[in-house]
Amino acid sequence: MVTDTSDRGQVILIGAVALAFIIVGIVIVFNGVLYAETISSSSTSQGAADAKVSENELERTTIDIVHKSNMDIDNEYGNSDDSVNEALEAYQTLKANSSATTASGTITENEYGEAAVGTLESGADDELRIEDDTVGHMTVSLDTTDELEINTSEPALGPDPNPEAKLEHNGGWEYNDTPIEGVDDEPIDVDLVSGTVNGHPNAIEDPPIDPTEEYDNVTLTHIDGGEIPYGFVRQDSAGSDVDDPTDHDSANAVWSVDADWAYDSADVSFSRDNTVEIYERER
Amino acid sequence: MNSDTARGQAFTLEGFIGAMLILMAVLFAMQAAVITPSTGGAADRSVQAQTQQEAQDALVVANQDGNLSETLSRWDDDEFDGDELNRDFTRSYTTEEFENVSKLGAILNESFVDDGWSYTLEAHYPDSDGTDQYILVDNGEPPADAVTASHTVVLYDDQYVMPERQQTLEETADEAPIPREFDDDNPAYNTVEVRLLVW
Repeated sequence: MVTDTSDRGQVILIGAVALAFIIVGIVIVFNGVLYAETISSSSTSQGAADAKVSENELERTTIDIVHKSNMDIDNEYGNSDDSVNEALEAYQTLKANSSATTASGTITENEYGEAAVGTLESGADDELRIEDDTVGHMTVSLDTTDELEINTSEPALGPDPNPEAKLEHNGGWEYNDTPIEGVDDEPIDVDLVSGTVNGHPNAIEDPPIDPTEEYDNVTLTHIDGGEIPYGFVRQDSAGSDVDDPTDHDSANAVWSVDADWAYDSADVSFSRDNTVEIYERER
Repeated sequence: MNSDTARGQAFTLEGFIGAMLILMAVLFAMQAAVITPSTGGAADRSVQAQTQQEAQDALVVANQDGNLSETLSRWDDDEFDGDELNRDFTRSYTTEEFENVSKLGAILNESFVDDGWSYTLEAHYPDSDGTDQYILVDNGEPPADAVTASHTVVLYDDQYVMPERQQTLEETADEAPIPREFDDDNPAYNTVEVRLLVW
């Protein structure tokens, strides 16, 4: 009887030790699996990042070319869809030459607004007024003798970023009495949406026009100096109107395009139909 | 329970445990000598991936406001003023010089060079013979484990040749180091892949 009890104790002890070893074994095996998974999936997650960069490059190219074609009121350039598709094809060829990936895009359909260029006449108070519309792009070219006021009324939604703005040369270029960096006594081209001045990005802080807002009206008022050339693109939404000065040419402008993006590599295959807003985005 | 039966069970279990001990010992030994991609001396995969992501981000940030395309069209330098442009443009910058001419240079110096990394920067573009390239920053031959990141930039006709901003790319197209490759009625000038190798 004594022997029996001792034997049973031995069996239970050995069973418990065996169970402990089995659990440790399982933990080690799963640990190895997790490690292998991390190693093998790292290139896949990198591939997804590459696809994202590629889509960004294609989108940027499309936006730039469409915008340049929009502002080409004299039709110096050809059809913007053809130009974009040619550039996207060149991109695809270059990409295929450098890596085992293909990235491509095509333009399928467009939504149109209006692009215009014109001049505010010399002498005081000549005005350009755009009513009930979204303005995606607006530039003015000023000489050192010129002074210009930009007024935007309360937008339909959201806060007005800067209701009254003024550009003038006062010993140096100033925007709302704040000196503009990077330019001295030279003529300036000002982008009133992005804040770029003569190619210097963000030269004016808090530019007066937000391309995502629909304004009751946007008014450029010529205060002083000679002729002030301007260019703009508006969405041309229902009920909107432009009270334009005498010298003003306009044409259809592409406001947004539908595009198909595709990306293929050893790790990731990705395709997406996307609407590319040419102007309504943070820049 | 019969004493012999119980003892038999105990022996069986002891056998199993013995086998398990040996298997576990083998498993532990193999885990201690794991062959990974970095065993041969290469950088760890996750470090490489992180470095590549950093390099990619540097290119994306530098291109954010067009600075990268300005860097690419910067052939109107002291040695290459408007009248002396030529196709055999082979100017390479040192890392210090590049910091002064490009935002990308400043970012790369801060992210990589200051931490002991080296980099080479190349521009690849299509021309009439297929593709051509020139080296923007040359720090020697990269090793086999260098990580690569690239960003493709489109140059446009109406862009100014830097840093003088006196001529547009279209005006200098006949002599410029990077030739014009698009149809005449296309506002685009050429596509350039900026390739960054870091090690």
